[in-house]
Amino acid sequence: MILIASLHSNIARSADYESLEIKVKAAYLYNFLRFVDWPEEHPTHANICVYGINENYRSAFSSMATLSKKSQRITINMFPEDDDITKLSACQIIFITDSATHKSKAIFEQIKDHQSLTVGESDSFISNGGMVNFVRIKDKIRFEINHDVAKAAGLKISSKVLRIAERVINSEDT
Amino acid sequence: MNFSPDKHQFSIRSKLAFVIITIITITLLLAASLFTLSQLHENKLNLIDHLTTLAKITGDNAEAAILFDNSNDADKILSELKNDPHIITAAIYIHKKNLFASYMSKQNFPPVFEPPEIEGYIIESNKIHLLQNIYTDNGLDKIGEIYLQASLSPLYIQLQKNIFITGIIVLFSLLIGYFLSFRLQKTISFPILELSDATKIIKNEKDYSIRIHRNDYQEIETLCDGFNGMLQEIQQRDEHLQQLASYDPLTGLANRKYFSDMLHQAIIRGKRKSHKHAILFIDLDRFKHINDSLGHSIGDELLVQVAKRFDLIIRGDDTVARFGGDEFTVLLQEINDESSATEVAERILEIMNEPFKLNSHNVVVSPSIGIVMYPEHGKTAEQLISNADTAMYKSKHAGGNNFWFFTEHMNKAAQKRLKLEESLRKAIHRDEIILHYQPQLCLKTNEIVGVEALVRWNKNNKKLVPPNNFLPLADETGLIIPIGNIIYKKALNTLKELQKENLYQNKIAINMSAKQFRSIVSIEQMLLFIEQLKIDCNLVEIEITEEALIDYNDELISTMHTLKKQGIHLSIDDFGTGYSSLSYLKLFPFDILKIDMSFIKDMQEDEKNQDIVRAIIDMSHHLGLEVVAEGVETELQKQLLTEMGCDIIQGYYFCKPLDEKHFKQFLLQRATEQKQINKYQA
Repeated sequence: MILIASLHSNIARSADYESLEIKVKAAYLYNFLRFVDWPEEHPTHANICVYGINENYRSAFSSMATLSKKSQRITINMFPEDDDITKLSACQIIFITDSATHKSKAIFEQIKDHQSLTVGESDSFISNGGMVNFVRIKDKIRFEINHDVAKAAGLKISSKVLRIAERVINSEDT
Repeated sequence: MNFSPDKHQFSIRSKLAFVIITIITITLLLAASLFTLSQLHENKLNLIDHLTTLAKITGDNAEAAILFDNSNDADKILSELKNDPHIITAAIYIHKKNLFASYMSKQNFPPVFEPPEIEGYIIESNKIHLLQNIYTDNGLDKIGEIYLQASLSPLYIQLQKNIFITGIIVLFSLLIGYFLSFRLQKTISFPILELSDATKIIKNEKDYSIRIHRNDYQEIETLCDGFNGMLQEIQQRDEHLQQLASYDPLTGLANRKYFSDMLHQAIIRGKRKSHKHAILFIDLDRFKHINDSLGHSIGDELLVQVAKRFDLIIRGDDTVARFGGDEFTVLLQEINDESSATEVAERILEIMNEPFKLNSHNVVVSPSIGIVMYPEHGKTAEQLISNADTAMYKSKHAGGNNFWFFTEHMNKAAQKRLKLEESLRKAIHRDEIILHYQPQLCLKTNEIVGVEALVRWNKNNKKLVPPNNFLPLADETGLIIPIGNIIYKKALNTLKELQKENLYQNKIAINMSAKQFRSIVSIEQMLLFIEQLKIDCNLVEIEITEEALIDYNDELISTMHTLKKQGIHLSIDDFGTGYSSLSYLKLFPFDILKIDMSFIKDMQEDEKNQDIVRAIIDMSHHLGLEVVAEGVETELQKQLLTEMGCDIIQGYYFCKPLDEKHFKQFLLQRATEQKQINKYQA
């Protein structure tokens, strides 16, 4: 996770700003693999699927594509926003980029029988049935979580992550 | 806890207690110190463990915050450490000592971060610094480092509390130990104290029958045994000494001291219960003669046999004692009246009647018994014994072999006797013993052939006391010896004087007591005195009474022969008053026989008395003895005696006893008359 550490610095408003932000999000996606339990036991191979990819994302994820954890082989699967959503059936994490947000509901519908953590980056993502949503607060990338949806999908999100989320939708808590 | 002022008790008890307390103190302090130090060390290790765990948990908690670059949340997580009193500051570093999050306790401002260079801990005097790596949940990737700085102050405060509590426990233990030590030391000191107490009691009460309880301590047991052994020996010795002190070794009877003690106790009991007691004082008649004639060993044997007989007739409660010499005393306790004492006295007379077998001799010895009753005859033991003694004397004077109860009159007589004895002693020194002289007339020649020296006591130069009034006392008290010496010295001096003045050339008769006659010293002194005065022994006549010959022995006879060889004449005085044993006349070398005046006096009244006198005279002449008739007072008596062939007369008829001066006048006058008669005849 040296990579992550290298990303930890103020995300300045610079030319590289968007690129850096995407890199951080990419790193966070990896991190979610640590804090979410999927019902299958110890999958030796994890798929992170990015839907609605553009050039920035492609370069950011490409640089990490080959990275894998020692115990887990991680594959980054990138899909353009017009790609067939049925390809998303075998993903542990599905990241729906801002540009593909309009297809969220279709995707949720598509994967409802699969235990996939859905991550987005648009304002109403979790209220529309998404599980995790990146938000930018004071130059920092934070996230919000709809725990209800995750639980319904059979995913266990670590309390450590819930703890640092900006917002958690959790009907049990309310 | 009883601190006796007694030195010994104080010493042994408190020394033991001191030892115990010292041991307790040292042990407790050592244990408390070791305990405290080990506790401190343990607490430090525990704290490190605690910090390690804390760092691990906090690091784990901070995992997501680190991975998602949320330092605010990391700060929050660290700030939760505020609940731990030890933590001063805490920090999370990422990416090689970049401070990611930090926490400081309130009292530690500004914060000082001094993390160790590598993972591990550093212990300072008052702080612990701990640096620990933070790994991902699966433990594979290091994502940062957590630094904890913990203060040791709470630990030291806790330690102080512990030391304080330990101190209280130590003090409390000491207090308990102090109390216990005084109880526990007793188990050791008690037997020693008991020993010491027993010693004290034995010393004070002189009671050697006390024994000390043995106990389980080996050394003290040995000590107790030794002590008891010594006590036993002392007790036995005491009993032996008591035996020696209380009993007469010869007869085995109680001795004088023991008897007096018993009497004393009986009096005390008698006072309380108003009991009557009787004391019999017994003296053996003529014991001295037996002792002298048969020897002391026979005398001792007699005393032993007498004691055995007494012992036979005495009740268990009564006490027989050998009071001294041939004196015995009997204490009859708690009797009803005098008749009980009388019974015992009669019984004693009865059992003494039987002769004693001593070697080949059969000896009869009679007792003289004096009896006193308590409380009538005396209140004290001394008074009772003294009065019993007086009654015994009365009995003896009454002829012995009888008993007398004490009367007040006896006491007066006894006092009178004592007084008489005292003045008699003085008389010897004041030269109050003087001699009168009575001439003896030869009936055939009508000449003075002898003179008898008669003793008189010129008491206070006022009145003359006749010999019968003081000689018996002198005989009893032994004063007869010095008086006897005075008599023969004076008599011989007078004879010498008369010879020198040419007034008298015949012999002088001197009375000698039995005691004097038995005393070799007296006899030798007499012979020496005769020699010194150059007097012819033929002119000395010694008169001995019949009584003096009773209990004679060989020695007495040889003394008489010695005197006779020297030429001294021996006469038997007062013949007919005593035993008048004719065998005496044959046995002893007498020259002269003096018929007692009682026969002469009675002669006029009774012809039988005349016959007796005639017989005595005839017998004497047959034995070759010259006969002197004493107490001749009348012409008739003289004529009768002349008829009977009596050789010499002495008495008032012819001349009464005269003092030296008048005797000389008598001799002068007689000489003058003789010259005239001679002249006339011529």
